[in-house]
Amino acid sequence: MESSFNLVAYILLLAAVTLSLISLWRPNKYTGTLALAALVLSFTSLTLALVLRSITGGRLPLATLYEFALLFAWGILLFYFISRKMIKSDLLMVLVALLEVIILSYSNTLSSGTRPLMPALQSIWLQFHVLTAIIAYGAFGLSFCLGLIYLLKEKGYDSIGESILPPLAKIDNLLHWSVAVGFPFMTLVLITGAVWAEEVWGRWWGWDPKETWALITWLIYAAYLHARKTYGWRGKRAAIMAIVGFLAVLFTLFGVSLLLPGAHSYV
Amino acid sequence: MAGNNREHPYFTFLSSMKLGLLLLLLLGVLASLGSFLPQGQPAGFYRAYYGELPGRLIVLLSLDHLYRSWWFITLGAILAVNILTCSLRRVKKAPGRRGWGSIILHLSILVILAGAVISGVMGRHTYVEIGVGDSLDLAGRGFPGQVLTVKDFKIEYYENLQPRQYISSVSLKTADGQEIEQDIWVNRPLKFKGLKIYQTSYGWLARGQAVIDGKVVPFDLASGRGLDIDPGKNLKLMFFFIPDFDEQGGSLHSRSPLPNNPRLAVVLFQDHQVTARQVLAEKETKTVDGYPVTFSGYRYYTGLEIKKDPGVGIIYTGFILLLLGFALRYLVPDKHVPERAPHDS
Ligand code: HEM
Repeated sequence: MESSFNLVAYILLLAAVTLSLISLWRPNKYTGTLALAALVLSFTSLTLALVLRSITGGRLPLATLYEFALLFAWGILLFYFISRKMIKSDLLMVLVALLEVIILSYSNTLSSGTRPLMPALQSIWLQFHVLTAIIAYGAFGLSFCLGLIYLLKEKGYDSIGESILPPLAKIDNLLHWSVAVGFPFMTLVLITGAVWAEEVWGRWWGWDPKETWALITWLIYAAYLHARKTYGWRGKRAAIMAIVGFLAVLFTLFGVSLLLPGAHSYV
Repeated sequence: MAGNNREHPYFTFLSSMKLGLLLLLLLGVLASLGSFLPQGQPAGFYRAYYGELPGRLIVLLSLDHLYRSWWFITLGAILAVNILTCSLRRVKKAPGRRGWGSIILHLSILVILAGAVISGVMGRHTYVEIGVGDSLDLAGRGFPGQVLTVKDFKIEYYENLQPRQYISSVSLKTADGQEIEQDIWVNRPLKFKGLKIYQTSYGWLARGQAVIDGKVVPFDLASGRGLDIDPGKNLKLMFFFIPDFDEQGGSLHSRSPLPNNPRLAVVLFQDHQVTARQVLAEKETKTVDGYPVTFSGYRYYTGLEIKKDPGVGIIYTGFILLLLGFALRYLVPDKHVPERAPHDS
């Protein structure tokens, strides 16, 4: 059951990519609306998959990399829907849908078994840790896509209509908003992680690669917020920093698990 | 206020955002370097792995223990001074409620860093292995006045025999004569007046005796350890506990982690080569290449991490202040600053 909802979510995302691309190429009312509908249904399907997984596993799906990949995709979509209150851009929709497809494709290569929780993972702090990470990384995922469309617009694809690319200042403001929302939650990710590590291993910080990369992510976004506030670093440089910040997120989640050994190797 | 233009230029630089940004990004880059280079290996490792010259350079620049190196810590200290001076400057400017939130937020980072320093300087920890039924005076491990007794250790399993929980029942006698009894499990350490004891590891102990050159030598060793018979000839009697021995297969692997069919494998090693081996049931005696060995019993030992760290309380205080700062900075309405919605430019 769960896997069929996953498959449906995946197919709908592919449909959203296709439809939103068509609507970029030949702007019209229908394909854009259809693409959005596909995204909403995909989100629903993903939610159902996660709910089913919780029921069959007898626990919240917060423990394996596969589970987190699904939650990550879920969080980014959530923030995309919120962003539509402020910006409607077809190009943004293409990028978000593409990012979702990439994350879900990657999740398919991970083992999806529902193993019971090993002792180290049986902690309320782990649950807070992952829940705050969904919000932080969802917001950062949105800011990444906004950073990309900012750079594209800057590069001179300026002649296209506003439905595709909103004005630069609008993108920049929404980008700042999403980083400013993500940052306190990223702080919570670090704090809950430290408290959990202290409870489980007796060390609140150990420079384990995953911890280190979460801290690096935090430092990059702190730099973004300060540069923007006190230097007025808006626009291009800020967009680049937001993109680099999200690359650090991706590396924390997937690169570290693959390349760098550490205590977190099970997540 | 008016004093600003009489500031020493060093102070201006030290409290500047320019330096702050530089440090945030520099610390990020250096921290990432440390995640790619294996940390804490012996010097020879780096030369063997990265080549003679790069290996020497890594050790020379302390990149092998980057996070403890003097220059990494110095950069952290400069960031702390930067945050402090920059915050003090802002305190003078009569900040509103949100401004105070921001200042608390920044100062809390200093509290966390101070806690980390105290943790590094004053924190003590040690790892002990104690057999079920045994007591250990922790004075020898740097925790005087405490005696720890392990009354029981057990493992709970899921249906698929994956461990669900490791549980040590311990009693701690303290310097002031109190006795605390508690079960310790993963994610639930014993906490008593700043002392914390964590469930970290476990293993099997095998007990018995060997007769070596006419002398009876009793042993009570963790599985995988052994007795040196003749160090000169590199002769060693090793013991491996097999909780669930497979009679048919004859291999030394255990069928399950449960002690359903306990055996002791006794292996004689000469120059790291196996020269003889026997598998003993409980209470059984067999001769291993001329050495009679008796297997008299087995039990668990539990591996516990013991620690006392006055820094942790300070760090947690810093965490709470940090969250409080965020709440004030973002959630409390400020009369002076109008709310900025993201869609107005
Ligand atoms: C790890 C280090 C730091 C963290 C996590 C941090 C965090 C923050 C946050 C979350 C904000 C609010 C940003 C916004 O509303 O857009 C902020 C603002 C600010 N920070 Fe930092 N900061 C750090 C280091 C520094 C340093 C080193 C300085 C000074 C050199 C500094 C000076 C300021 C100033 C002047 C503001 C603007 C006032 C405000 O909006 O609250 N910060 N900081």
